[in-house]
This record gives sequence, C-alpha cells and structure tokens, in this order.
Amino acid sequence: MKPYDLTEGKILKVYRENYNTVTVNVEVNLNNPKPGQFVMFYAIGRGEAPITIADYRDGFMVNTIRIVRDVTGYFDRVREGDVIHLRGPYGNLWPTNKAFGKDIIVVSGGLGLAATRWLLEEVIKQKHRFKNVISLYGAKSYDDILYREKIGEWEKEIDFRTILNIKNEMWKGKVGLITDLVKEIEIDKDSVVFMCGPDPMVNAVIEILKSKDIKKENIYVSLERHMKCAVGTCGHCMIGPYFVCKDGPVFNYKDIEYFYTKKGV
Amino acid sequence: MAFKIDITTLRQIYEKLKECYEVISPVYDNGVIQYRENPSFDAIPFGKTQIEYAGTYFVSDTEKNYISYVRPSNTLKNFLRPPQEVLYKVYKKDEKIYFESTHVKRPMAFFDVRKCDLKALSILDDVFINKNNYPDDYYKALRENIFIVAVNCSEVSNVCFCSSMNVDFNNDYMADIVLTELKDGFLLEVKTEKGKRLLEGLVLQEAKEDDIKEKNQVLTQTYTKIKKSINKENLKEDLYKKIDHPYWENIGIRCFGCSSCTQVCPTCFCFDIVERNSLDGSYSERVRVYDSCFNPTFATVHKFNLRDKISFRYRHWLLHKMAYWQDQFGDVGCVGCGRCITWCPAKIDIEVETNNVRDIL
Ligand SMILES: Cc1cc2nc3c(=O)[nH]c(=O)nc-3n(C[C@H](O)[C@H](O)[C@H](O)COP(=O)(O)OP(=O)(O)OC[C@H]3O[C@@H](n4cnc5c(N)ncnc54)[C@H](O)[C@@H]3O)c2cc1C
Ligand code: SF4
Ligand code: SF4
Ligand code: FES
Repeated sequence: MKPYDLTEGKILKVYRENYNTVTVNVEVNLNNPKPGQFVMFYAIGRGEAPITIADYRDGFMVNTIRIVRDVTGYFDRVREGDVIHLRGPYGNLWPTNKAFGKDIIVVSGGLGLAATRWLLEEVIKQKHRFKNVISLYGAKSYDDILYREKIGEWEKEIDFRTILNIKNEMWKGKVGLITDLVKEIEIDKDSVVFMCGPDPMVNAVIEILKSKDIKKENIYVSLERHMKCAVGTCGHCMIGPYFVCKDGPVFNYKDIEYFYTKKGV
Repeated sequence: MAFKIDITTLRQIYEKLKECYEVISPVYDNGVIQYRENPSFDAIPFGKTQIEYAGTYFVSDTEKNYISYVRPSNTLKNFLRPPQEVLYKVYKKDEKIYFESTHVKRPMAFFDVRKCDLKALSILDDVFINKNNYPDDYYKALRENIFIVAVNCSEVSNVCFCSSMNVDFNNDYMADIVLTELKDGFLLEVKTEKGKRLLEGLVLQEAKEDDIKEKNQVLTQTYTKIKKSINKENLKEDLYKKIDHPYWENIGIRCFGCSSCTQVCPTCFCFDIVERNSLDGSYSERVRVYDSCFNPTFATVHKFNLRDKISFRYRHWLLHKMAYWQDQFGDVGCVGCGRCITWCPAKIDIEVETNNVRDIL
C-alpha cells in the first residue's frame, strides 16, 4: 500500500456528544485494526488529522472527534450518508495480554476515553482473564462527559468510576481531579495500568502510581504529538528517538520516561 | 575498470550524459556555487574555490587545478525530495471526490557529487525507503532514475568534518562513475553497468598502476587536510546524559531559530503536507513542503508548542543528528558537510557545539 493513498468511508451515524465533540459511525474496510491504533482523516482543502479508532467491528468504525480547527472543523458539519476519506490503521496496540492474571487499571482523561473505549470493550469481553478490572475516567465538566450510554453499560460490568473537575447540580458523583480516583483505589503492586490523557494528567497520575509501588514497566501510556504523515517520515511526532506514529502511540512508560519527563524534548 | 582521461574527454562524457539525462551540476552564479539544472560544461566553476567559515561564504579564483571548489551550497535533497512537490490533485465533482496521484519521473544525472553527499544520499534512502515500513513512492520514483558522477575531493573547506562522521573516502557508495583529479588529467573509475554503457563509443586510455597510486595519495592528502572532527565514541550516551545541561540555554540565546541550517542540510528530511485549494472548494492540491524543527508550529499540540524555547529546538536538532538518528536508523544523521555552519547567520557551528557539550563535565 502506498503511504498516502486514501480509502473511502461512509458516515452512517453522527452523534453529537456535546458542544464541541461528535461521535461518528463509519462504514469502512480497514485491514485488521486493533484497539490503540488510529487513522488519518482527510477533508478536501483542509488536510489530514490523526483520530483514534474508538471501536471497530466487521467494517464499522467508531470515532470521536473534538472540533478544533481545519480538519476536525469539517466534522462539525458532517451528515449521515456523507462519504469521507481516510487511511490507516496506524500505530501499535494496547498490550492487554501483559495484564492477564493481574489487576488492570484503565485511566482516561478527557478525550482520552476515545482511545480507551475499544480497549475497555475488549477487556470486558475477556473479564475472566484479569483479576480485577478498574476504569477511572476524569472529565472537565458535566457537559464534557462522553459515551453516557456506554458508561452506564460499563458500570454494570466493571468498577468504573467517573470524576468531574467542575461541580454541577446535575452531577451526583465525585468532584475533583482524576488523581483523587487513583489515590483512593486499592490495587496490587503488580497491577498493569493503561492510560491516555493530556501530558500533565499523565505526569500527575504516574506520581501517585509510584507512591503505590506500581512498576514503571507495568504502565502503558498513549501519547499525543503533532502528526502529518503517520508513517514515520515527516519528523513531526518525535519524542526523543521515538516516532509516536510508528513506535507508539502506546508506550511502555519505562522506555520513554527519560525523554518524556524532560521539558521540551 | 579505470581510465586516465583529459579535460576534453570529460567534456565528451558530460555531453553524452546530456543526451539521456537532465544533467545537474555545480554552477557559479550570483556569487554562489550551486547545483543547477541543465547548465553547460563551461558553467562548471573550474578553478574557483570557496572560502567558508561559520556565517561566512565567498568564492574566489585559484590557479591550483580544475576541481578546486568543494561541495555546492545546495544538495541532492533539493532534487530528489524537492522543496515543493504535489502528492495528489484532488477534485470534487457532483459531491464525489477524485484523487490523482502525481508521480514525477525525470531521469537526472548528477555531475560531481562528493563523498559527503553520497553518504547523505544513502541516509535519505534509509529514511524514505530502506528503513521505512511505508517506502515513499514519490522519492523512489525520482531516486530510481538517476546517474551519479562522483568526484573525490582534492580540496577541503574550513567547515568540513566528514572524515569523523562515517563518511568513507574509500567507499564509492552508489556512484556510477568516479572522478579524481590527478596532476595531469583525471582518473575515471567505472563502477556500474550503467556507467559502462555511458562510456560506450569513447576512446579511452586504460589507467596505469601509478595513476591509481596517485589517486590514493590524493585521498590521503585530502583526508589529512580536514581539521574539524567530532569524537563519536559514546557520543549518543554522552549527549543523552547531558540533555538537561544549562549549556543548551547558552546556545538558545545565540540561535535565531531561523531554520537555515535545516534547509541546507543534505539529510534533514522533515516535511509538512499543505493544501493548496481553489476558492470554491472544488479543487485542492496536497503539496509536500520542507518543514523544520525550528518552526514554532512544528511540535504544537492543542496550541501549545512543546518546544517553546529556541534552546529546546536547537537541542532537538543537534540531538536528532548526533544521537536520536543512531537509535532510529543505526547511524549518525550528520555527514559533516559543514553547510549548516557556513549558512548560519548566528555563526553557530554544530561541530564546535557538539564538542562543547561533550567537553562539559
Ligand atoms: C494518535 C492520535 C490520536 C488522536 N485521536 C483523536 C481523537 O480520537 N479525537 C480527537 O478529537 N482528536 C484526536 N487527536 C488529536 C487531533 O488529531 C487534533 O485535535 C487534530 O489534529 C487537530 O486538527 P485540526 O486540523 O482541526 O487543527 P489545526 O490546528 O488546524 O491543525 C492542523 C494540523 O496540524 C496537526 N495537528 C494539530 N494539532 C494536533 C494534535 N493535537 N495532535 C496531532 N496533530 C495535530 C494535524 O496534522 C492537523 O490537521 C489525536 C491525536 C493523535 C496524535
Ligand atoms: S548537520 Fe550540518 S554538517 Fe551535518 S550533514 Fe547537516 S548540514 Fe552537513
Ligand atoms: S543554528 Fe543558526 S541556522 Fe540554525 S536555526 Fe539557529 S541561527 Fe538559524
Ligand atoms: S507523524 Fe510523521 S513521523 Fe510521525
């Protein structure tokens, strides 16, 4: 396959998550995508943007897109039946097998839940393979909560906890930071953690995990960096010697810690 | 196969190349020696020499020999991964979108490529093709149809430090024919079938053992003329260790972040893909352009530039060349051509800075 050729997809459903985020169902044939991977969406005259595969089953993909500017702006006006163009899947996967027989903790901040949604679905399907499944989700405000229906389903299956940064009279749950949730859980020292969220959140959560004696090599984070090519050729996504598009986006924390914790690397 | 030829035969070879290729060779124009498309043999700056220092460049005449100049100011990258290339033309018709991929194939002959630039070409081959899971078909289309006339340097400039950067003078890399200027003429070595075919029909005199000896002397002499060097032993480990050192701030104060160094570098490969569209939204071109890690937008994530200080950007650039590259492609990403030193308006010298960082305890 040529690196930049695009495939056609058809928008089957558009669901408005909130004021700036849409979830789309896309009918598209991808070559064996896996949880953790992403695609590049193209919009004519606007360019391309990397978007996580939030789910994929038999030719049907789910993506959740926050409207920012050029490319994602296209999805503000996308309608059911529209044909869109994309390429992928790219990147590596969440190594769920590393957590078999152990506690698995999934930590998602904000839109990071899109990157852990498919992972959660797979983990729930194979629940018996893990000792315990805990999922922690932090959203900014009540309006920012994604996948409300799904969360309802997940709460029935696993220990799924949500926390909001900002109080709201509609919200009966916890208010605070995601780190509060990480602090309160009781977990084994050999638990395996899968995490996706903004860099400051990742750093703060890592500190708490360290205080709980979780080993660095048992922590996996999915990183976000500027991307243009997605195939390890444009240089944009580098962090230290790693290309996030091809060596990641999922990294073992021990591997990247040295570069990740340095400012401006 | 090796021959001893004179300047008239060299001109004949040049003319033969022009019959089958678009020839690209160094030309002296507007005070600069640069690779140019379709010049004439007479435009080659024989007898000229470059005076190059950090932030300083000028060309003067010398009586020494024909090939007294060194590598041109621009590089093969400018032709094989051009500053602007259209990857796709995109049309919108009746709400449907059509893509037309636009591969350019133009047979190019590079007349006069030095060892540093040959090594740089092999590095670009690794980046775009050999060590890439998605080989770049645009680079490949241009790369597959080239002819290379390599030249062994008999002169060096003040900014050269190729000898310490894995550039092997005794390796002819992917050259089709190799030239070395001798006291009275040129040694012409033929390295490929393509090279052999080009020379068909020319009456050539076989080189003698003494000519080969003389060539080796030239190589050794040139080698010893190079003054600058970087010690590569533990280079990567040492730089990684010093990633936090305040000295990077010192460079950051001097560097303008202008990206000139990345533009002239033969191995800097980073690019952006931009859309050039019609106002009515019915047509767009996906254009690949040079980008630079010195650009403030290069590493933005949600409006935040992750390398928001120039010292971060310079450090990223130097570490990529000297260290990250080793992890990524198994070799340093610098060939020691010195172009970035000459063309830096702030007179920042990558060889000096690397050595400075290394010497800091
Ligand atoms: C692996 C990965 C997965 C992602 N998954 C999602 C997702 O599921 N949902 C979602 O809403 N967002 C996701 N993002 C972020 C999303 O890619 C950016 O918000 C988006 O690129 C902004 O594009 P734009 O054209 O609207 O913005 P502009 O500001 O116009 O950006 C122009 C271009 O710059 C690049 N760029 C700008 N910001 C980013 C960024 N933050 N990350 C990467 N490239 C950027 C892109 O090539 C983009 O098209 C993901 C990013 C990465 C790296
Ligand atoms: S970094 Fe400077 S010396 Fe090294 S190859 Fe690039 S331009 Fe030449
Ligand atoms: S090192 Fe020199 S050429 Fe490079 S960005 Fe800084 S000022 Fe410009
Ligand atoms: S996005 Fe181009 S190298 Fe990773």
